[in-house]
Amino acid sequence: MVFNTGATLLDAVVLAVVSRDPTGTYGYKITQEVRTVIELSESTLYPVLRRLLKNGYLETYDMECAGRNRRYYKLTEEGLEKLAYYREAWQEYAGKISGIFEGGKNDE
Amino acid sequence: MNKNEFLNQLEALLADISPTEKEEAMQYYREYFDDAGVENEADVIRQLGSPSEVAQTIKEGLAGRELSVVSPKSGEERSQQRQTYSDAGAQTGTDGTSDANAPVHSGDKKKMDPVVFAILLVVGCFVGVTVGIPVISTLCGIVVGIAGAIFGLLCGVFFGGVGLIVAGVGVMIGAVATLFVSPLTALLLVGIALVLGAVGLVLTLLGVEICVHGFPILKDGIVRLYDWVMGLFEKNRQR
Repeated sequence: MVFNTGATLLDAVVLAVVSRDPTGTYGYKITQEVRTVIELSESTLYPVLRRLLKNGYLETYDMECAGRNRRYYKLTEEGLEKLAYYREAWQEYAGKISGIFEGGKNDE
Repeated sequence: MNKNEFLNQLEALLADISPTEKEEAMQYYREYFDDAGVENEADVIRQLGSPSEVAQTIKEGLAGRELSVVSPKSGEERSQQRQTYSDAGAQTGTDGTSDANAPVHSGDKKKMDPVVFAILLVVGCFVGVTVGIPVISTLCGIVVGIAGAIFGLLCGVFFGGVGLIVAGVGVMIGAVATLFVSPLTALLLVGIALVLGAVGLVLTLLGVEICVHGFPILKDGIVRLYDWVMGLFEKNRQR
């Protein structure tokens, strides 16, 4: 990937990844799934998850799994709204960029 | 380094943050290793980088500053050209500082080479002394000279006027003295005295008038001169 990923886009991708598991998903899995689309260091996601949690877009619950604890993340109502907003904004943005790339097609 | 060494070093590096935050971060990374599995342990450690890098990332997150751009480069390059930001979370007041919304570019300040700086300083001083002082003193001289000339002219007009009035009075006295000796001469002298007095009065009043109204006009004139000179420069530049 030759393009930089801005912080907001990373937030949106993380929210989207977490939303794919309605019952919640965990740090390692989120990291691996985000890394399938964005090249990033594995340490980048902890602050992002922590912040999304503090902002009320994510919530966590702990569950026993294979004899040890595991923390699950899932979207809150606010997180779902935020994700919907990001999706819409992305579609508009991507549409415009594609329009430019595909030979100066105008809306008119 | 194995997982336990990594986690122990990380915990030691996080000793200066709040115990709750430290425990949260430690739990996250403990689980992270567990979920990656023993077979991926070395891979995860390689990917995470050093414990101090991970600790730095965590602390930047706590301070409300994170990587604003994930650039598609290797880890080492990325950490060198880090851009930090404070996210929208500052709006809700849950997180860190609110005054750091603008991207902060750290570590890319251009610092001048001290040697180059010293040379520029010396050259600057030399040019300043050899060119600056003569130019400035010449300009000062011109300004003082013009002011002096104007002042002298004013004084000349005023005192010239006063002198003419005095002369007129003197001639008038002379005229009275010669009145009985030579009435015609006396008449001529009276005429001269009146002319001198009139011209003197006009010049005196002119001097006073210039003092009262002239300075605002002068100021106006200087302002117009300045505008005109600037206008010339502007035209030259546009050409």
